Amino acid sequence: MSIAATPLTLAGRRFLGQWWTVTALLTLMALAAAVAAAPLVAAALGTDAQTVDLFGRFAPPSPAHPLGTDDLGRDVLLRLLEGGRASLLVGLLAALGSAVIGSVVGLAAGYFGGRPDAVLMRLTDGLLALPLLPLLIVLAALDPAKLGLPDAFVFSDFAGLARIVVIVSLFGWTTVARLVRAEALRLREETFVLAARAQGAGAGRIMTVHILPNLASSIIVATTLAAGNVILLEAVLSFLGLGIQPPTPSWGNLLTNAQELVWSAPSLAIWPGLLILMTVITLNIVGDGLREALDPRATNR
Amino acid sequence: MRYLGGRLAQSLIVLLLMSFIIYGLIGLMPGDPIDLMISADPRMTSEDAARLREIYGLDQPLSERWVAWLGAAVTGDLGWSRLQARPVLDALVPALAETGLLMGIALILTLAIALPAGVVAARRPHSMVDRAIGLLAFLGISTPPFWLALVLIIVFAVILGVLPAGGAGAGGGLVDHARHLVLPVLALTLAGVGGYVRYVRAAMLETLGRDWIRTARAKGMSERQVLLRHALRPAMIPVATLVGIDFGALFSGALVVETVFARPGMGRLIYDAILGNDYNLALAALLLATLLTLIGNLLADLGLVLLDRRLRLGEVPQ
Repeated sequence: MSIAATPLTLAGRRFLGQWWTVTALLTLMALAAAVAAAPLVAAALGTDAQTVDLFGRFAPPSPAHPLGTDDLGRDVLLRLLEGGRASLLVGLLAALGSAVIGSVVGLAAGYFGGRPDAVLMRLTDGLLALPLLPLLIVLAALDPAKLGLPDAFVFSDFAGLARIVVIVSLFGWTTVARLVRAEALRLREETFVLAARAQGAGAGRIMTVHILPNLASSIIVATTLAAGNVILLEAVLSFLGLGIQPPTPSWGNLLTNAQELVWSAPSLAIWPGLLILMTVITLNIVGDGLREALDPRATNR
Repeated sequence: MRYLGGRLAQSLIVLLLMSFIIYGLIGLMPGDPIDLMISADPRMTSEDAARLREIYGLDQPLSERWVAWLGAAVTGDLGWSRLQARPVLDALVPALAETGLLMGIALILTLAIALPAGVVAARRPHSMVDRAIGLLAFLGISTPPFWLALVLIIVFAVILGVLPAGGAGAGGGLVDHARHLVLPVLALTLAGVGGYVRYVRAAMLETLGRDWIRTARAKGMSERQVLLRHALRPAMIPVATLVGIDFGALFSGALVVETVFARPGMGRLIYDAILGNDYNLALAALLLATLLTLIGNLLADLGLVLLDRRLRLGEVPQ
């Protein structure tokens, strides 16, 4: 006789029981591994993502350059992998940022209900209805020195990355907030919350100790689904020249360069887009799979 | 009607709030209007700069400058565009017409594809047809719109050479203008249609599970009548809401598409104004974008009232 299955192992079985979620997860892991291994690939090829070779421009694929070279003779494969590091790192950090903001807003709205809920949810809806991209461009074009940030920070390499993470997080949290709110609204009526309240626990304690742990699965699902969106936003901003700045490659700014070369080297435009597409699709599939696995009641909408 | 009145008041408040936020943000962009002015005249001293600052009211606190700007804006005076060397209003109107055309055609096309596709998918959930439509929609929502635009350029302009890769066809005839619209409209439509298909399908599935559908079937109505008469209309209510909410996303999409195809619309105008320190133009264009989005929302609400009998009777939905 086997040991009684816990809800978590049941969820794990449900998740792994669907071949497409497993395939998506493995693809995502392979992408992350490839991107993390960029320095190893660079060492194996004996070059790096920034090395210019003006005698080897637009070279076709060869053992030395598996995907050929770009307009400055730089290795396309290495630039894609390096670009992936930037895009995935921004995606990961901004998804976490969105998760934090969304959880706080959703938890507060759902737990307190009434007027705070109405105000916070109006804010969430309002943000969704705004023309997002023009506002993102304004935020990306702001002068950080005018915000009173110290020069040492403004001119550091880190600032560019931090800025885009903050901007994308500011707009990426709404999905998380909605899901968390709906769940918190339900949980606050549960008997264990009533019991805690009867024992004299304050709102802060109930929210952090009793409700937050029960929200974990909703937050994980919402964050996975938000990550895909966040990566698309970063790509668009970098494509418009307001995100990650060249010569540091990202999937978005590689496409900016590719657009200028669309007549002479159209293939340059294919790879970065395919990688973004692959990342976003796998994230969406894994997110959907997680939702169905963690919440058996959820219907596929 | 009371419902619409409330929504109208709400939209006005949001617009005022946004105008203040955007006004403040524009002030935080790099560069300074007075620096730009005095760079033209090397003899200017810092005292002169301070005097200019006073003349233009730039020494006033943010809130007062905003009130002054708002007062002028209400009378139709939006200032002078530095980049385009003409009044802001004159620069906005043609760009707005261009973008409106692009968005309008794309939205009509999106609905024309998404409604039948969603209904067909919902008719037999989990059938092969449903799965195929679901897969395509999933691909659609996961594709970066600007990349899609690039791929369209590569296929139709570079490889096939049948359509222009960019521009608006200014100077050409009507046919030329239309030819330049094909790829941008296609890109904008494909970027949004996936989300709509999924949404229409979900809304249809929801209504198809209702009692009145069972009653209609029990009465012996044909499946076609059940679908089109009894299910589609209530299913349109959430879809109309989505059109309103999605208006901002449609505008953002238009901005990207216009940038890729180098079209002289609102998107391109906003982008150039922000990067070119054209404060007046950027401010007015951003607010116009917000205003349009809010109007889009209100129109969707109006559509809701027409579709939903409960609203017409004066009940306010939760």
